[in-house]
Amino acid sequence: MKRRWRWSPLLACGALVGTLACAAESLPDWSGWWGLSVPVPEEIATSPPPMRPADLARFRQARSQDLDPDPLRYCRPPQFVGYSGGFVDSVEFLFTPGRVTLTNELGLLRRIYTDGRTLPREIDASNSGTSVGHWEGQTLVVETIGINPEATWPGSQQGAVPIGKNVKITERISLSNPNTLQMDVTLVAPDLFTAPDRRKRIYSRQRKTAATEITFCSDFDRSIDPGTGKQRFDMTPPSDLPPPPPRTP
Amino acid sequence: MNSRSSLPVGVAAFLLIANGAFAHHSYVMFDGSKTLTVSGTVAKLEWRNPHVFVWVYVARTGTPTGYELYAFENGSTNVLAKLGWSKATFAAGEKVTVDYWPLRDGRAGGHLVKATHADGKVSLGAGGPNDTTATAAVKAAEAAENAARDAKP
Repeated sequence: MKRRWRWSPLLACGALVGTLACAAESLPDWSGWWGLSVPVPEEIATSPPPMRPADLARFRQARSQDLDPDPLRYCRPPQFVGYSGGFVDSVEFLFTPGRVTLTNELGLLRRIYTDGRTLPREIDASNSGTSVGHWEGQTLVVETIGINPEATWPGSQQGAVPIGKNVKITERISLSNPNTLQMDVTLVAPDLFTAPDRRKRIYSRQRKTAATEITFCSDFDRSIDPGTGKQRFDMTPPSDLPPPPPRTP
Repeated sequence: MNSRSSLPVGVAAFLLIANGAFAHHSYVMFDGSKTLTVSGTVAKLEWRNPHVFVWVYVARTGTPTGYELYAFENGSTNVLAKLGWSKATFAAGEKVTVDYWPLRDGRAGGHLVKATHADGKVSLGAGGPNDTTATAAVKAAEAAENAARDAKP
């Protein structure tokens, strides 16, 4: 397997040499940007989550019939509910001693502590939750709790619903080949699901070298009415349009 | 038509579905069952999130100016950048031919499928109502790109 670089055990573990979290193994090459091929709505359509049938029907109806007016939906901060992005919003991993940081182009920021600490007993809910991780060989195993119960699943989309309380997310992340990353995600959300929801997500390494900001929160969105949240197609011309070309005889 | 695009077909297919599949609205206002074409003069490329808009003057007899202003919704800047777009892709005054999924209410505009420059170069749109699935093509395209990169010394 071709590797572009390796973390030295010294750099990976830093001052924490000797802890379980940084056994003397080099870390894998997850550098660069990663893209997901299957969008979550399609994933859900082909493999429905273990929702109660009535809840699933409401979710599908809202998406298909534009019945979900929520003007604030697209202007909330990024929230982690088991999906780290990657379809439109490319994902990156940053390794520093004792920590892996996961970000995406929508601005999600997940701090995953790999320094051996355990999940705290008392926790304040947050949009990214509280995460700890450990390496099992070349696989990063992440546990996350403390998710904001109002964070919407499956994301900031029509039909999304609050994830609820007592959420726990477990991820196993590893390379299946040098340019393919696999995330096995188990989402326990007792207020939303009748059983754990299990997903396998495949990411491909992308050529891009820099982030491109994307946001669905805009001061002026021609496609969503800010007052009602309903769809529209606002054809108010920009104020700086040049005049039309001169008439041709 | 002398059309050309610099993107692999699989990547283009991916980007056509990308914004729609994860879009923040459902595109029900567009009629994805038919594609219309108009030619005109670019009035403005409105480069912004969550949707880029392309405004085009299309010659129309019987109107006060002799033109009708068309509005074409497109994907987000992020997705379009991956397709090779930038805010300089179109300049005001440039001739263009636009293929689009029309608005169901009959107004002058729709969702951009592709825009053809005067020299034949094609700028593919992103998102829209006909974004079914192209994930297999995506994976194939990305795998091919990665394989090519790995093959380099």
